[in-house]
Amino acid sequence: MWCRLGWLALLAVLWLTGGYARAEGLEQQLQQWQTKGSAARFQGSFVYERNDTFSTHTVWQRTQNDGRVHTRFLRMNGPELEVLRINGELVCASRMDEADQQHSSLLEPSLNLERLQQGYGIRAGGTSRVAGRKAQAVLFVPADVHRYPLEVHFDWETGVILKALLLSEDGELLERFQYVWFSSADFASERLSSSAGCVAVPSNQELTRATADNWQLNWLPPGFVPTVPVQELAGASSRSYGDGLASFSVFVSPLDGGRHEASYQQLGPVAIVSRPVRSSAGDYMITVLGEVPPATAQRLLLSVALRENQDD
Amino acid sequence: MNEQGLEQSLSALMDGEVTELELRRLLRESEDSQLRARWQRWQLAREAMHGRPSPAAVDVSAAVRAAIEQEQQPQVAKPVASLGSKWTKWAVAASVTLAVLGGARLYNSEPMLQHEGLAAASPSSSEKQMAAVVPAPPVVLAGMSGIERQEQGYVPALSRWEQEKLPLYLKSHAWQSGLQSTGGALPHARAASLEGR
Repeated sequence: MWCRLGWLALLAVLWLTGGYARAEGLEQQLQQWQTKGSAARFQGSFVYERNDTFSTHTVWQRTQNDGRVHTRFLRMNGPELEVLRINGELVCASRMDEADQQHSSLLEPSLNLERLQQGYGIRAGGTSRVAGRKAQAVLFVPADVHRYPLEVHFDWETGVILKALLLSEDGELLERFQYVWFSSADFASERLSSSAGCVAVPSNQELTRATADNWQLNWLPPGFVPTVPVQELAGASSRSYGDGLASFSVFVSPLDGGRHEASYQQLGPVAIVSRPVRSSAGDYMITVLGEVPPATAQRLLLSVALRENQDD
Repeated sequence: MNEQGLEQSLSALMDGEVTELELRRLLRESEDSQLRARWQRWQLAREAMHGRPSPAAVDVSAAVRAAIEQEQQPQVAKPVASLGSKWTKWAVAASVTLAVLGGARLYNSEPMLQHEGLAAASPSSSEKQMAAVVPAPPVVLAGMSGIERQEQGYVPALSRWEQEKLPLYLKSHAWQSGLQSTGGALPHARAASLEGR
C-alpha cells in the first residue's frame, strides 16, 4: 500500500516538475525566437483581416551593409502605402500625418515576457504549418476578463511571427495577421530601397508632450502600465497603456460648446467609447479605445477623472 | 461617496469585480432615485446602441427588495446552503443589486457562433485548444457580455466631432498597439487598414 502511494507521489512530482520545465523551456524558446526574428533576413506576403477589412502586404527585411536592420512594407491592394523602418525606427512613409509622426519608433520591439505574464498564461500550442513553413503555436491565455486571448505562430527557422490571431472570450476570431508566403532566401538589395513617394520622417522627431495632463486614470486592469508619456494629438491630451500584448489609449479633448453625447462603437477588435464630461475647467470629451473587451473599455472610461482647474 | 465613485462601482459590478464594501454601498445608494434613473438611462442607451428594441422601463426594485427580505429570514441551513457558501450569496447579491438598480432585463446573451468561422477557415488543433482554454465570459449585464457586431447592425450616427477626431485617434493608437515584435508588421497593417477606406 505505502509502496504504491510512494510511486504515485513520485509520479506526481515528476509530472509537476516536467510541467515546470516545459514552461521554462517555452519561455527560453520565446526569447530565442525574439532575438533571431528581429534580425532575420526574409521576404514574404501577409494578409490582415478583421471583420470589416481585409488587406494584403509584402515585406522585405535584411541587415544591410551599414549593419542596421532595414524593413520595408508595401500594401498590395488599394492605394499604395509604403513604410520603411531602419532598426525599428520609421524612416519614411507614403503618407504622413500628425498621428504617423508621433510614433516613429516601435515601443516594444520584442515581447516583454515578465510583464505579459501578469496578464496571461503562456502555453505551447503544438506545431503548425503557416505559409508552407514549420511553425510553433504559442497561446497567450488571459488571466482575467480585461484582455483577449492571442494565438501566435513562430517560424521554427527564423523566429519570425508568421501568424497572430486575436480571439474574443468566446473563441471568435477578431483579427487575423498571417503570412501566406514567406522565404528566408536572399533577395535583391533594391527591394529595400524606398520609392520617391515615401516621405521622409523629420529627424530628431520628438513626441509632442502635452502641456499639462489634466486628467488621471483611477483604475487600471492588472498588468497594464503606461507605455508612453502623456502626448498631445489634435488638441487632445492622450496616453496609451499596454500589458505587453493588448493596449488601449485614452484621449481627453476640450469641447467648444455644442451638443455632445456618449457613444460606443466596435471596429473589429477595437472598442471605442466616449462621453462628454463637465468640470470647473470646462467641457471635455473623454475617449477610450483599444483592443480590450467593451466592458473593460467602458469601465476605463468611467475611471478617467478630470483634475479640477489647476490655476485655482 | 461621490457620484463618480458610484459610477465606477457600478462598472466594477458589471465586471464581477465589485468588493463587498462597494456592493453594500450600491445597495444602500440604490434608494436614491437619481442613481436608479441614471442606471436605467445607461441601460436604455445600451439597448439602443446595440440595435435592440428598448424595453419598457420596468422598476422591479420593490418586488426584489421584498424577495431579499424574505431571503434574509433566519432559516435553518438547508443542505444546499452548505454547498453554495459565500459565493452563492455573492452571486445572488450581485444580480439582485443589478435588478434593483436598473430594473434591468437579465437574460443570457445570444449564443455566439462558437469558433465556427475560425474552425472552418483553418481547423488546426491549436485553435480548438485555444477555444477550450479561454475563460468563460463574466456575468455581466445584458448586451455587455460579448463583442457586438456593430458592422452588421446598427451603427450610431457619428457627430462631426467624432468624424474629425476619431480617425486620428485610431491611427495614433494603431501605431503603438498590437504585437510590435512582428517587426512592426501588425501595427503597420492596423494603421494601413485605416487609410483609403
